[in-house]
Amino acid sequence: MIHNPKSLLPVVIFDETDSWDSVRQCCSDYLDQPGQRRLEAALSANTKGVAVEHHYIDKDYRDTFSNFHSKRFSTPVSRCVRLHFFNRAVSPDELKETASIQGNYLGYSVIRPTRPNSIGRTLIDFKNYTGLGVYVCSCREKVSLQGTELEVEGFPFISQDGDATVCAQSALWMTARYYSNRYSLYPETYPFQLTQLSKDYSIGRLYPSTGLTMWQLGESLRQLGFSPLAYSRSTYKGDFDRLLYTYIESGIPVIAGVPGHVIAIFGHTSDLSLCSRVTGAVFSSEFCTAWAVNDDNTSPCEILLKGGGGQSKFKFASIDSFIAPLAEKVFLSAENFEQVVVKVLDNSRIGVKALSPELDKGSLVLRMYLTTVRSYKKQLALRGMGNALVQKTYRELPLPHFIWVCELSTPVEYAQGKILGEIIWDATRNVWETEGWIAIHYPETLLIDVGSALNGSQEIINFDLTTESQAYPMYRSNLKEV
Amino acid sequence: MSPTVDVFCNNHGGKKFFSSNEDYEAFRVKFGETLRPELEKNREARRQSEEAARMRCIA
Repeated sequence: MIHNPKSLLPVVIFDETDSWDSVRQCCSDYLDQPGQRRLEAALSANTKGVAVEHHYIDKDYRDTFSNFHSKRFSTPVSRCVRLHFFNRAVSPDELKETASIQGNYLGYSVIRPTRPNSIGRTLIDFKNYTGLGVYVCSCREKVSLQGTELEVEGFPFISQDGDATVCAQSALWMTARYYSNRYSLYPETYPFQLTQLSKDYSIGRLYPSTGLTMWQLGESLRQLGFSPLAYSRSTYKGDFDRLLYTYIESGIPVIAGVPGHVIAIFGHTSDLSLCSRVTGAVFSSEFCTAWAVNDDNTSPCEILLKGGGGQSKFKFASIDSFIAPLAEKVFLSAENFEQVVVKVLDNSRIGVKALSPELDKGSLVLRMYLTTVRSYKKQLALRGMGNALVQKTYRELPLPHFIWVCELSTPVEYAQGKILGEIIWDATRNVWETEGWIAIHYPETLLIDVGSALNGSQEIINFDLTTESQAYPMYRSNLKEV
Repeated sequence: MSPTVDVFCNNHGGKKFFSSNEDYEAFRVKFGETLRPELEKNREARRQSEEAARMRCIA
């Protein structure tokens, strides 16, 4: 049934007579059949009702409309339709009460009057994907539905309009909007503004766009305040997927190049049953079986499987390059952190063999990520850190804004989400400063640099932990579990 | 008196890990030497990756 079909806010309740086709008919000049299919692919499993908000003025579409579409002889209208999705039948009266519908709200999608792609700014709540088994970068938005304030947590999606924006700007928008939603440090940037970011690095016109190079994407991110790093599979070869995983594990979505196209990768999933096969020391990236991606040509939150055959038509090997938008103060890259960690663990004075009989007696799983100290310290009490002294020391120690962490675990503990120690490295260090380690925590010992903590030279203090040490939960704050 | 971290001034049993400044310096230099070749490789890989990014076109 359709509540108030002639109003500015018809509500389509899915039943025997009404479903997605009815939604399209409610906004026929906006939503076309390909657009409907894309929404169905993302939402049909859970959606039971859709509120169709007419005459919605969308900040992102209005930006491209004012700067591009309005200059054409045949102009589309300047307004949009916004669809709100619910996982149960909701009545018009219920839409007036936040408490009645917040738990059932699956997010929104702005429908533009553009062709061939009508799907505009979209944020689908991760509760729509519950049980998917992925860890994702997530951000929150507040949504006002005729004054009813709702909240949605997801990863932004938008499709290209094919004129002012193509896939490059769309992937850039998705990444940039995630950051501006999540961190006040980054400015909210609109699609046409994104096309202008490469104006000093382009040959020929900026729009209609024929695409960008990865380098231009990197330059655009730099102008938004990031310190982007570019990676190509041809250069990094066997290390490429691991480095990509490390950035995703750090809560840093990446812009990834596939043949002729670019997508945003914002999450991963792992098969922990693979832990039982581990011999020697492995990185946790070995267990990664899929990426969560936003491909502007398809639907929000698709699964890209390692060997292909998932919702995404691509596979890991299809990804030939990526750009990681790092924060300005992250001076140490993932590949360099990986090298220093490997050398620390192998070192005859401070390595596993020298200081940790517990970790030396079997296989090791290493999980690397970047994080903020603010977030890391916030989790200390909850995690316990295996030893009260370690928790207390980390809490009191002055630390840099960003740290690289390599968690140390055995395959058995890792499969249960637990670790036995970690190496913490100052991410604001120059790569050549090999004294950048802040802490080396093994089950038996804690080495702490008390000198650098007080802005002096490195001075290592050793604490004996043999009397009280146990496995503790791995750090999970960078990503949201769905 | 300069402030210091509580856990270190309350005598929780921490000991200096290196026996002397010379011991630490010898470790630091040797550790740096083992790392340098790998970091040099990473620097070259970074240069190549940035070069590849200039040519990588997305339509």
